[in-house]
Amino acid sequence: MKPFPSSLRELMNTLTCLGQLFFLFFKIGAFTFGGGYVMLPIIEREIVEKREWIERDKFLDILALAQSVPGALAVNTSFQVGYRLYGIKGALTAVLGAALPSFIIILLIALYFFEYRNHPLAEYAFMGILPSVVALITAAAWRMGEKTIGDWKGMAICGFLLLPGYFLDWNPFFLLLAGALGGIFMYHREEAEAGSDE
Amino acid sequence: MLLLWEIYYSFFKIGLISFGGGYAMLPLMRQEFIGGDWLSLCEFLDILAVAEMTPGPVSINMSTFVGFQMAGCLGAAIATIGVLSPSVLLLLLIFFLSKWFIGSRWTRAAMRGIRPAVIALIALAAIFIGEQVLNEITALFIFLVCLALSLKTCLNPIIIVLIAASFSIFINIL
Repeated sequence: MKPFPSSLRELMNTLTCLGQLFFLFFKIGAFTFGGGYVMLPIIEREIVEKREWIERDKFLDILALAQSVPGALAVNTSFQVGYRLYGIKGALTAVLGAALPSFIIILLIALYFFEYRNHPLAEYAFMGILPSVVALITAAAWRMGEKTIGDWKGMAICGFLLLPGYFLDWNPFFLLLAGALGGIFMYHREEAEAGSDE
Repeated sequence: MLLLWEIYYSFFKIGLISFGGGYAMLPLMRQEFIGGDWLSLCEFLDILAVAEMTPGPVSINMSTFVGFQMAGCLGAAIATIGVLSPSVLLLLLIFFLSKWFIGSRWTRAAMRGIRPAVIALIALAAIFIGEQVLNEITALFIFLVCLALSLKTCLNPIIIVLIAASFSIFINIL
């Protein structure tokens, strides 16, 4: 961690760096439709290839961690990129940049949305949009399942949790906790053999 | 003041379970907000549709919109900060405890169980919303076509949504 900037020039330097970081993530946040999995290749191209801020295998580490904590993929990735470059202030700057465009756009829409919601054209459009959203969610579940469920144990956890989730309307926290306990119960031996405790 | 605190707390919880992106948080959002006097089911579905069509992560879009419905611009800001907080705090915590946390076989085993649980959550979101939305033959048709497009092509999701919207406008006007 650097000490407090000692001169005006150093302060300007820091601000320029943070500004660049902010605007890069602002741009990515403002122009990428379609959520995290669309954003990741773009972030990778900007950070790893074009600007060479972070090496590729470091970026893969970032992705792995981004996927194992809760939260939007784009936010978790931008946080870590900012942190690696400039510490905590970088991390917060990057997250702010990534989140602000959605926030502003949604706010503008929210201000006017319900005025136009009942227009017949909007009505017809939503009759088509909602089924397509269900399709996107189903596809996300399917694709993630293919990628992450590797064996019958994972399938069993997923399948068993669907029952109380659907019929008993369990709180999602319980479902995740049950999943974690199931994972520890079924996989801890395998994980002990697979790698040393670092 | 109390309302703002309640909003923050609700969205903090929602942020905490949003593993694997925005969809996994939909079941908890439903439990938290629908049925109370904050949000009707129709509004929730509308908001989800808008969140899907605007740039940026679905989770942030949803939170901003729902927060706005509950308490205006300030509510939107609080909700967004609330949903971001858990990721930011957890990542910081992990950076400080990194080796122990990531490397431990217990954590790795737990993560291998959490991932299928997240998929169950996303599937539950699809089932619950599907039950509300897929109630006629046209909707079912659009659903199946979009599902095929999404799984078999690499079209951007927003394109798929736009195709569905224009198709629906087209057949309703005819």
